[in-house]
Amino acid sequence: MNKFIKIRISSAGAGQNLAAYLARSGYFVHADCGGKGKCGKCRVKLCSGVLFDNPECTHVSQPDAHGWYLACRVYGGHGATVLLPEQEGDGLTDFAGQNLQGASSSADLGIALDIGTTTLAMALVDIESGSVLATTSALNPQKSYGADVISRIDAVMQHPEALLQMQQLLLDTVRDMMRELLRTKTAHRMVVAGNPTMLHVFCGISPVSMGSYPFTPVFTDAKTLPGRELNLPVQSVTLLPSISAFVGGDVTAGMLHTRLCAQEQPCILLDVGTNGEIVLFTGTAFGSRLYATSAAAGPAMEGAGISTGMGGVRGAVCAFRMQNGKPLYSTVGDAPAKGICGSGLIDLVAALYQANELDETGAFERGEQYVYATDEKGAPLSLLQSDVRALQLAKSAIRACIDAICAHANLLPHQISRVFLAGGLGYYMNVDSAAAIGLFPAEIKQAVHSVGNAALGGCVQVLANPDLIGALQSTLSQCQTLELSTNAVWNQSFMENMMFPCKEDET
Amino acid sequence: MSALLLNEISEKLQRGKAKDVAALVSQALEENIDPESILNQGLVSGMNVIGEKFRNNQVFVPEVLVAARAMNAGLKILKPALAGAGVEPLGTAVICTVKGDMHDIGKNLVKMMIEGQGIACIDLGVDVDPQVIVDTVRDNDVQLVCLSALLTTTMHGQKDVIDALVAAGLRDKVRVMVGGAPITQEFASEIGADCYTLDAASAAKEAKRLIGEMRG
Repeated sequence: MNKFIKIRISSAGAGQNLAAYLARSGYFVHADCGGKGKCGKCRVKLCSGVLFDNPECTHVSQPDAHGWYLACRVYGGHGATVLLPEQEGDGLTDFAGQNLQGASSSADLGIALDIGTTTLAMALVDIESGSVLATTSALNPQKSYGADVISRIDAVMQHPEALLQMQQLLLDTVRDMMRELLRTKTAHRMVVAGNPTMLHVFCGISPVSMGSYPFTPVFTDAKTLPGRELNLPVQSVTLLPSISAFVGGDVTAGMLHTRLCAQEQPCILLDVGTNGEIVLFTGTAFGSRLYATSAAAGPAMEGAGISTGMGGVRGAVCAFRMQNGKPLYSTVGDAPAKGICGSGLIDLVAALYQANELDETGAFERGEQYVYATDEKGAPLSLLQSDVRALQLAKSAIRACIDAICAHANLLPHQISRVFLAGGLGYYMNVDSAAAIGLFPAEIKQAVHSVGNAALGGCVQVLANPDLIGALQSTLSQCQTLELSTNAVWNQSFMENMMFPCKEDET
Repeated sequence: MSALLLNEISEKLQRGKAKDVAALVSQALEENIDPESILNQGLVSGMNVIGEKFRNNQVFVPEVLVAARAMNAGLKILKPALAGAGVEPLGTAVICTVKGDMHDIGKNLVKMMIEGQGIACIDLGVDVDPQVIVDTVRDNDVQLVCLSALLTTTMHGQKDVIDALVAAGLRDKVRVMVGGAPITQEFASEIGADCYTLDAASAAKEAKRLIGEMRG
């Protein structure tokens, strides 16, 4: 059963949009659509008082058949009390490959920070040795301004004051995380990675120019600010450089972490999420050319836009397979199933395709849905035809990215010696399943390595060795970005790969 | 006999068999089946089936695209005969993706489905300035303007087009239809659009209705 938070609307909230009011008051309101009444995730119940359809408070709102109101569609009545379902943290908490060690009190300390659109991850670092002493994570508090970067940019377009609000929410959370890690100690430097929109908002620069074609960021170079400018308790804050409006400091940090540009053979860094970002390095033995691009994949990979979808939190089905025709699944935290997250969805669809429940066009062979699990109360959790379609769109967008960048570099997929898979989903994704649905070309399956939170890893390296930034910056000056919307290979591949590939045993 | 042949055209079109559709349309013309029947009971009826299946999630974007390709192959053969028989398109629509937005695929899908209803389309492409749309509406016999936007940051461009049409005194000349992932009926009403649909198949149906209205 969901827990609720009871919130009384003060006089300041009267006539205010309820979702906006709740967000300003520091509550987490899910608003994947950015408050357009589309996603239905900002539901609240009314305990006492009234809510209104209009800011003038003349039309009293009516709830839906189950007693829910959409917070983004209603305006507060003074003194009304609402119940907001409590949100669980969907954190990318694992920091792969790092051991926590005891801090020596004399250590010169630094803070590594990765600002994800959904999650913030932070590490306390011993600058001398480059070792990670402790890590923490938190939800990005800007969630109520939309789930993806485009909604956040739109929030600023519609209401310029949202920039400052989002920046303050973010910095508040960052300060809280620092307090948790530092306790009584002090840190000298902070190194920050994140996508370009997050980096713009972090330092209070409007991301609006990245909201529409030609998607121009205000800055892409690395940037160092005095900590006091952001009211952060460090001497200096360094933002890692970006490549374009959608390939940001999180990706360039990943390049450092994976030593992408030191590889002899052709290799790829791929971050799969709402946006697919990809960097290809042809290898030091093959001209050392560097290419980058990105494509919107839609939120399916992060469990949004899927009827029973959810983030990778407690109760999410995160792995699925068929054994002797029977479904077997596991959930995050081994909790009773509540829904399905990206890695579970990829597994499920791959398994259904292998078991001939789905044909190669993605249509169910029989019926219109598949019950993949039952929840705590025994109610079925179903994969719908529309869910399969959403995943087909997402996976073919990512696949087309890989095909387009390889074609641009004059490489065939089998010539790629390594694919570094970054990000939270990459860490949990089953590569065989991903290849079975055609997210990767079958030829590169063996080359795929998950690298966990490579963005945070890159920040840690820069803390230990600040000279890396200069080197990175000069590498990036050689980087060629690929525009995909007009790219023929991308468009062709996007269409072709919406279907599923031939099954391995049939090839 | 003719019903059988027209049915076969529809079937082949649904399966995206462009060559077969073209050959069958030629055959139908040789057998003196009237061009309008070939269009409506063969090509358009096949496209309608695909559209309905698409709306119900039974088929997906690629199937619609290959079906549309097959329809175009058939139309190419049929067009001279249609013109010869004095069969006119139902009307003309202008379609594009609004300024600042480069998304092409959804717009193309809608265009193909609309053409599948026997409506002529002027495709202005992507990232289109409102003035270009205004000029096209002014200079052509157009009844419908279809605007696509796929980003929450560019959807307001649909309003800019409607405002530009109003400013140019052309708003009453056309119906305006909007679509795209972030669009809602509420938004469509707010910006003064005449119609919003959730998917390409419904868009085609509504396009036919709106053009019918404009043509009286």
